[in-house]
Amino acid sequence: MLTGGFILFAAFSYLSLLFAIAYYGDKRADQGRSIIRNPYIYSLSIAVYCTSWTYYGSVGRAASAGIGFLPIYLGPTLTFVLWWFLLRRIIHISKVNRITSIADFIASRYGKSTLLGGLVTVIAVVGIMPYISLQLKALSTSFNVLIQYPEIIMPAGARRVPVLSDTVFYAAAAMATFSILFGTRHIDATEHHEGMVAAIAFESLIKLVAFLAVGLFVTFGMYDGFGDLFARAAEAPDLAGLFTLEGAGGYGQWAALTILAMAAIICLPRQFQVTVVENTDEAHLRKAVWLFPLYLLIINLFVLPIAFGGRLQFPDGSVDPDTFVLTLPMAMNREALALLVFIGGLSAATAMVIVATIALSTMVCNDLVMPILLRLRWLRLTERKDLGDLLLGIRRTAIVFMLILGYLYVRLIGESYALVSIGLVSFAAAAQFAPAIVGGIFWKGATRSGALAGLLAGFAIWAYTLLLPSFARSGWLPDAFIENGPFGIALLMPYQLFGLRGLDAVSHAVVWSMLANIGCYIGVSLVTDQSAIERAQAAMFVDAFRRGQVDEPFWRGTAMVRDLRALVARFIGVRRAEASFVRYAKRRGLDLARAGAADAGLVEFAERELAGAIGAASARVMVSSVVK
Amino acid sequence: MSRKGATPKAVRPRRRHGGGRRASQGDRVVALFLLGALLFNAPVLLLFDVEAFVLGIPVLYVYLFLAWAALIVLMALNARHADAAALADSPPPNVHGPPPPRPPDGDA
Repeated sequence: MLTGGFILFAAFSYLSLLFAIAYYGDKRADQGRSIIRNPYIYSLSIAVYCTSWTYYGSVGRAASAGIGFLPIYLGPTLTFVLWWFLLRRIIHISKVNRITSIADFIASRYGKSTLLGGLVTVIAVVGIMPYISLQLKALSTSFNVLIQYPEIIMPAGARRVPVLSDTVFYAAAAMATFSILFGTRHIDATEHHEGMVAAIAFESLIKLVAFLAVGLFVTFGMYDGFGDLFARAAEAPDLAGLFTLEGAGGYGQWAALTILAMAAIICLPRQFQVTVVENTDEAHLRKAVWLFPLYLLIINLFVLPIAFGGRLQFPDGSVDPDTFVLTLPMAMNREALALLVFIGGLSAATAMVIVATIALSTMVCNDLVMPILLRLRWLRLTERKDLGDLLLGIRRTAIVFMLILGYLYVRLIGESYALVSIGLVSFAAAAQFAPAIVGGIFWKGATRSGALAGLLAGFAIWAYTLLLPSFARSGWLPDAFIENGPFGIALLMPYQLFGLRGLDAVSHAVVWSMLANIGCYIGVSLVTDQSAIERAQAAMFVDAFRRGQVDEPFWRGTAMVRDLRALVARFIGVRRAEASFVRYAKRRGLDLARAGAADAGLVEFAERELAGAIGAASARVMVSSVVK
Repeated sequence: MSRKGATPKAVRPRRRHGGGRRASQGDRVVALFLLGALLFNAPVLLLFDVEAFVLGIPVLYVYLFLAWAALIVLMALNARHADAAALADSPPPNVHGPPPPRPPDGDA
């Protein structure tokens, strides 16, 4: 039954179903009868946090480190405990300012800085590349393993096959097509993607059901419950050590991973997208704060049983632990279950890739490419009639570009690493945003220069201690780079920077990059001054919940109402622009038809409307083109 | 949503009829976070980091999942107290707020 053709058929049927759900979700949203406006769908969509890493990788990690996989899920729980201070504020601020991405958020806070937005985007794209490659690797591995049924044969490394017969390549191509179809169909490029949210909420259900099915099968089908399974594992001398933290990498790593995951749940671009940007109602957070951690707990219940089951079933180590979820049902000749597992893994991978590429492509478009294009005067973009197509074109190109990057990373690097190790590199990159975000909503004095310095320093150390060594370990840089340091300078050894020993690579990178990041952020903020707009934005972010505050309009100068209206229309379409201006006029009791010049409030309103489509920094450039 | 027409209420300090101050959502959230950080970290974790079994399951595993579950239950109980109106306790500045008192030409 499980021929290549049949597996592909099942996979494409599943993807078509997803697409139908997304289509339906979008249609309902257009009619104003949203299907995602409830806390349950919202919580499930946040569960896009659980990717192939959770689905295949956790078991792989647990097979060699016992409970050591768990901090990745305890961390987000701790962050969600603090929802009242963090998530609630961030969501509120983002709604008020029509924030479209994490780069937009940071850029807005520090004076709508195009430079900062661009830097965040570059860090995010480079940092998430390993994470996307992890999904591609897991997807192609699971396909290559399943296709061998009933044999259990580990696929050969991707590097040994030519590109065109490499399943990872096709996985990447399929994902790119799918993400483009999903995220960039609309002409109106606003910040919400209701269809996508509906689809990933559904995917969260599928991966949970599939994983629980394997877990129950292993625990109660292959063994006689948890007790029996662990008792057998205890008899195996090399497994008993995994019952304590000793085998899990010790307390230092435990704490470092917890902190990383705490940051990641907010700072990963895709988590920011689903939790903050796609939030439809701030009140949903009250249920999501415990429903999402509950989801994490349930999906992790059977990780250890499957890991031990796998170690007992394949004691000779010929089977990659990252594939235990799939190979255990295969070894027991459960065809249907194996196929369900494959579909579950497919849903875990596609959900991550879709949301991550959509979030990143929005950032690349709004915070990197558009600001540059708008500055190139000879393009005369500020005079073009309809820019909606241009926005979508940039986003589509960005999606393809990111999947190509992800594919290259698997091909060059991914083979030599387990899934979790690849993912942790991305977590450490995303965590670099945490100081600028958390500092930005609590500390009015933090400056743009401070944020720039912190991000640059943190990113540089991350690249040096995690990214470059991964190239060395895969043979693309000389081994001596890791062993003796560059040019033989021992103090600069990337895994033992300045002689810091006794930490694993990830904890080591977290310690140094966070030290540099937070140190520069605070230090430089203390010695630099804020511009007027920085001060205004800082006050708006930090005092988000203070009542009665009417922020001073920043715009000085005049604009004509018709110019503003035409400007907004070029990005979001004539009809929607007209409607939103009419709504605004009604609320303020203005007669726009008679008003020639716009007041500062209207200019700000127009800027906010634009920000929803192209981000705060670009919106500012566009609006300043019509303000005289 | 049902809360749409509700007038925004102040979050804190919330007062009971007796006049005493009730712990705010913020206070309880901080306490819960400290509890979570304590339960999931070294000194307390050490107590359970032993090779022993409860109902055949390693103590460390049982402890971590139970502590996690307990924390989630407390979060759920606590979040119920955060009343919906308090979530949007201020009107977003400049969006629904009063019009700024300036002349229509906006020249400054």
